[in-house]
Amino acid sequence: MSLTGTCIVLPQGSKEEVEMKRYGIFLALFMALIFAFTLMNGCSTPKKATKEEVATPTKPAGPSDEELARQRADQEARERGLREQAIRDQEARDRAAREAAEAARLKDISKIYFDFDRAELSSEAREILNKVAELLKASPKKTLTIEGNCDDRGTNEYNLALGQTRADSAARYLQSLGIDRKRIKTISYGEERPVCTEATEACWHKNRNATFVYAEKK
Amino acid sequence: MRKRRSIQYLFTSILLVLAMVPAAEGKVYINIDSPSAQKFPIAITTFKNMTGASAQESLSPWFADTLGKTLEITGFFNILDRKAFLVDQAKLGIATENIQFPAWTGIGAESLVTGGFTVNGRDLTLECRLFDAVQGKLIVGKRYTGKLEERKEMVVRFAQEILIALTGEKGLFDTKIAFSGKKGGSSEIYYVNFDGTEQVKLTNYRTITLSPKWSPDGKQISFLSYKDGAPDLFTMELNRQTARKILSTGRLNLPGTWSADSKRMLVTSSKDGSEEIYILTVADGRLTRLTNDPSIDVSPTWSPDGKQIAFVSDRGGTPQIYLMDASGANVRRLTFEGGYNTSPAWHPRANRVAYEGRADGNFQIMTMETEGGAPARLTINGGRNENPAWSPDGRYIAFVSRQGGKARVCVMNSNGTNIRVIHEGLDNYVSPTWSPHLNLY
Repeated sequence: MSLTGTCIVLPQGSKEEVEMKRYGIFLALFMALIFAFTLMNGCSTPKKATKEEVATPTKPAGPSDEELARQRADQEARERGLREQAIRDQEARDRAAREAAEAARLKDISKIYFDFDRAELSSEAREILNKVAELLKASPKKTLTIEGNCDDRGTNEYNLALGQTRADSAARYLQSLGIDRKRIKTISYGEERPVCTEATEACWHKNRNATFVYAEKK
Repeated sequence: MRKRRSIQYLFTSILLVLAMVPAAEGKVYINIDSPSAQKFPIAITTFKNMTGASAQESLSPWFADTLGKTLEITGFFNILDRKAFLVDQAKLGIATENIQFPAWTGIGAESLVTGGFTVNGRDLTLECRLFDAVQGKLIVGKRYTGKLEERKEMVVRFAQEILIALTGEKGLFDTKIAFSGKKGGSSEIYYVNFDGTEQVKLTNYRTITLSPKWSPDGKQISFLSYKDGAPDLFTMELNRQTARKILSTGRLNLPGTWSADSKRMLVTSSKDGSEEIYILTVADGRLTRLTNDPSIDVSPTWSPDGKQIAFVSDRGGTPQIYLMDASGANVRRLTFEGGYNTSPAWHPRANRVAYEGRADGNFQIMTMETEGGAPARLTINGGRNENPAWSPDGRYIAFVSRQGGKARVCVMNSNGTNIRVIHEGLDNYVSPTWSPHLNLY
């Protein structure tokens, strides 16, 4: 750091604040030092800065100029850190909000349901798959895993096959809407991953589904 | 696999050879294949302590009780209560000339077992005799020598002799039953002895692991596991407990039964689109496709001669049992009653298939002759009974029973009687598979 540069940035109001703030005192001391140094070296400092420095010629010598510079740099770094943290926090909030909105949007297109022992798509299922196709078209980097599930009333091996058939049935429909089959992976969990376990039609219905899991292609 | 006991049995010395009646040419005392077979009444006396000292007195009832329990799980015997016995055969003597036969027929015993033992340090000599109480003659006698701690094994060996003598065939004491047991979100393969003892947890993948199938050579179990993310097929050698991946297609793969030579396996795979049945050569993973239908084809099982295959297909609209030739030709539907018939298991010696079908609103174990005909319903309890697996002799069926919110692995006689639990306590069970004879005794 050059002395002249330091002189130029000294604030105007520092004289009045000397009594109240340590910061002011340091600045004053700093200025005094600089003044002395400038006189010795015959530094051609601007008039404005020079005037200010004249007001504090009697201050005793304080911390070295290196220390003062370091303290100042620390202070600046702290402030910069706080500003950056604030920006990061805001970004995280924005991202969470975006993700929540995305999740809410995807939740509506996260499952389709089937009749007992059937893999045919209902009209409701087709409507949801139409939206899935729109999403995939709008986000070319998105990939999709379709998980086929069954209620537990059938035979577990047959249900593994049925789950695969359900997932394939959804995948075929998406393909018919122009989605590249390579973006879609299918897997059957049969009756092995129920979302509920009550022996009621409501619960069985929930378990007879194809679940859509989205991912971003890197 | 359980270690083969190293005892040096000198057990084969047959006592009283003159009185032996070879079972092969003798009469069959128990026709276990008869659906109306009554349990065979047998008396087992406390064993005579021939050591001369009063040491090891507690073994006298132990031998009788252990033999009784062992015979009882076969489901063929009515073990008569010792309290009803009229004479103390251990005091009178245990050889043929000492037996008071009328005292045994008098309480309804058709058969009588006597025994004696000599303990010398850790050495044990055990003599066992089986009598025809009605005809008053010895059927089979054996002497076993070994260590005291091998006494259970000696008892099981004599139980085998009793079964051979009375039913014409040795029992299943050297067989085990494997199954998939679920707890929480994951399932693992376990196996237990025929009587439910000695549980072994074969896998520990903490994922979905299903459909164990025991190889006919007894050395391996194949299964399906999601341990690498997708439903892949594995085999595990029981003595090494290391899994080998044999089929991975990125889509659904399911094991069917093994060929008699344990070299090939029927499998279901959706690798070419819909679920089709293939023959997988285990050594090199080669697949030969058998079915060609856009519907679900699953759960294939070979006939004992390997010439036919039973499987499940929903090509007719609902899941039903179908048969085809081993080449995949000549597909014909076997089951027509009920809208959901699955899990076929071909009888090891007969043209008969066990399966699960719906009856009274629940799944029940059924059998049907492969020539067709009316289904015979075996389970009648109020629960849900699924996944039948034949014992290697066809005399028993292991299955999963769910009732009152609890699941159990059960075994029943092939006529549906004598249901007993061999495993419970996990959240759910599927797919029991019966080992071949493992020659443990």
